[in-house]
Amino acid sequence: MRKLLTLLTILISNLIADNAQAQLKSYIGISAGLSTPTGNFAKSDYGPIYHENNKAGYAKNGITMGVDGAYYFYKNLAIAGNLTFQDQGGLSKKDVENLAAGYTDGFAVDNSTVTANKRYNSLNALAGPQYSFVFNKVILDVRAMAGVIKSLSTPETRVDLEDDPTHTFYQRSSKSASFAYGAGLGLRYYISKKLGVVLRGNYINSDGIKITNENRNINAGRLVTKQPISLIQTTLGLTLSL
Amino acid sequence: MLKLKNLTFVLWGTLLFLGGCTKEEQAVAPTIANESLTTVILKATNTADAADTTSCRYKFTFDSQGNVTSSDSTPLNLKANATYAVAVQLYDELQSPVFDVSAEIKERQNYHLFFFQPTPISPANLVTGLTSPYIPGTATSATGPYLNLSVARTDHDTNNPAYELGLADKFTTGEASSGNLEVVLRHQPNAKNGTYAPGSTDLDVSYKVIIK
Repeated sequence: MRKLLTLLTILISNLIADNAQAQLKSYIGISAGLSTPTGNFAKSDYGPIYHENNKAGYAKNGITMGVDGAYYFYKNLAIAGNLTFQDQGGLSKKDVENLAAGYTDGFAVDNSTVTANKRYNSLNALAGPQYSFVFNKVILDVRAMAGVIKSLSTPETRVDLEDDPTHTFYQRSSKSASFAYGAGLGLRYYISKKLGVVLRGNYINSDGIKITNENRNINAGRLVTKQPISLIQTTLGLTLSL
Repeated sequence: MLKLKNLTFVLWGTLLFLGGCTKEEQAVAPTIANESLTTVILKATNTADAADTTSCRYKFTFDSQGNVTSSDSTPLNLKANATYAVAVQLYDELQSPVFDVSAEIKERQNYHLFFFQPTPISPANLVTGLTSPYIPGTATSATGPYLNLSVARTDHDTNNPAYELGLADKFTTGEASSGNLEVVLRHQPNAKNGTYAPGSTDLDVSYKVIIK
């Protein structure tokens, strides 16, 4: 294991040394693609009674789009940043059935009705150091990022227990923001001196955005107060050297 | 450059479209009935003498459709001027092995609350409210004779703040007397607040009580 790590370190160091050249040109670009939720954010299980999965996000695959750029301040080293929008869908019929069954059992009622609307829409603003490896016309960007994820909306639910309208409770749509971090890989290929196409993959994680609940009077049933977000973005875009 | 600008407009146009696009979904999930309450036992242990125990039992009989066809109860015999630790035990004897419903109630304690109503009771003794196990609206007697029994719940749930539950209780007797004790289990999903009013009734039984 130690030998492998040493070998990898030498390999990467050599690659960086070989690639270090005249300062690369800064660039800006736009891209769009697929945003795939991972971890608890992607889970769609209510969980067993008393062990409810309060972090399950019921998020779906969705689209992402945004702007991306890097400012090279020393040879292959740059400060990179991106601003992306992503949509992770809303609750499906199957999801609300799953939630309703969970609340029916969780509160031992004859029936419960779950009504859901709104979707996961958010903006990410992330920045961090980037190192670029140049292979002729192809440039491989490796970056680490940190920043903020700003929720524009999250699924909103209304839960009616039996036919008692006085104790209906709500999970409200969130517009809160949270710290986020991640890493990314990008492959840029220049089709002209200035214009290139870029294939990019980013992993982004956030411990969670705050979720507000209303009329939760007792300690029972699934209760989401913080929604963790983790996703992988795979995008294709255009990039313009500056 | 112009093309890039147009593409940006398309992307942000899509963003605005998705932001406004929302679809409502609704589902109703009925419960899957899994147990009946056939037997309710109050087991009392004299706190001054652990060997001095007594109990009473209320039993429902069901037909094959799950409807109650009959019920019977045994009286609760208590000593005068004594204090008892009382455990409420609930069972489903239709299942084999017998299912302990009180364990289920304990698990679901955050939305269950027991009430105990001795009668006849004087208007002065019928104190209801947050920590009272007595039932509001109970008919009182101005003249007596009264059942000289007072009840206090001694266990609590895990709500914040914690509310009483009533699976464990303290019965305090006075002078020799007789009457009835009504036991009600209230089911208060997302509504439990220590009082009788919210929710619905899961159980309502009555025992003859003899204090001598």
